[in-house]
Amino acid sequence: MSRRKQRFQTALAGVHVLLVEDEPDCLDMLRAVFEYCGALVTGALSAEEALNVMRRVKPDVLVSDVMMPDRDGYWLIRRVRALSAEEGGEIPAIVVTALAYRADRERVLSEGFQAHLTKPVDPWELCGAVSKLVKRPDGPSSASSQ
Amino acid sequence: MASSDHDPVQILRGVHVLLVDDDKEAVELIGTILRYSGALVLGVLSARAALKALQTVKPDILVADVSMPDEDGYWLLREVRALSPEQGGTVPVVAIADDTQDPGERRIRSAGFAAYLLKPIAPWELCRTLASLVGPR
Repeated sequence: MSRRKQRFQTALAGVHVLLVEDEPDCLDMLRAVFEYCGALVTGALSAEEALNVMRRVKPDVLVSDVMMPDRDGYWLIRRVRALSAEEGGEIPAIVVTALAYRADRERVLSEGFQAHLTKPVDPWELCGAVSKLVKRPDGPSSASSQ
Repeated sequence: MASSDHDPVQILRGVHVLLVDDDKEAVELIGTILRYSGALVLGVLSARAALKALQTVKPDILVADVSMPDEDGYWLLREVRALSPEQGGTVPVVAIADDTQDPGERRIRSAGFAAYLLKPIAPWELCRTLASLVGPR
C-alpha cells in the first residue's frame, strides 16, 4: 500500500484538537494540516488562552509548542495535569517544538506529554501521532491494530 | 477548452504543497487548482516567507515562481538545498515562470529545479507534474 493511501486512513474526522502556538503563522499552518485531515481545531496563542479554552470545552487532544513567551508548554502541561479527569486533566498531549535534543525530549515526556515531534514537522506524521493518541467512540480506537 | 484530461480522482490527495509566488492572485488561483486535486496547500508571498514556513512544516513538494522581487526562485532553491534532509533540504522544487520572461528550460534545469511550467498554467498538467514527482511512495 502506498504511503499516500495510508494518509487517508489516519484522517482525524470527529477529533477536536486544541492547538497552542504563540506564532500566528505557525498556528495557521498547523491548523491547515489538522483541518485537511478532518479535525475540528481550536487555536490558542498562549498557554493561558489554552487553559481558558479548557474551562469551557473539552478537546480530544492537546497539541502545543514549548517555547512561548510568558508561560511555556511545561507550565501548561503541569496546569492541565493538575485538573481532574472530568476537567480534562487526562487529555492526551503532544509537543511540536524546535527543541530537538534528547534532553528536551526526555523533559517533554517526563512533564506529562505523550509525544514529542520536532519542527519542521511532517504533516502526515503529526496527524498520525494525534490519531494514535485519540480514542474515538465511533471508530476503531487504534487504527494501527486493524 | 479540453478538460477531458482532468483527473476526477484527486491525484494530489495526501500531498502537501508549499506554493510561493509574489503575485497574490496567482497563489489563490494555483492554490485553488491544487486543492481541487486534493492537495494540502500552504501559499506564501515571498521566498523568505517560504524559508520561514520550512522551519515549521515539511512539505512533500515546493512550487516556486522564479521571478520575484527581492529574493527570487533561484535564491530560494539554493537556500533550500543548503538545508539538511531533516530540515527539508531535499524537497523537489518545481519552477513556474511568466511566459513573457521565460528563462528557458536549460537555465531552469541547470539551476536544479525538478520541473518547469509556464504561466498561464494548464491546471491538469500542473497536477500531473506534481503527482509524478511525489509518486506513490
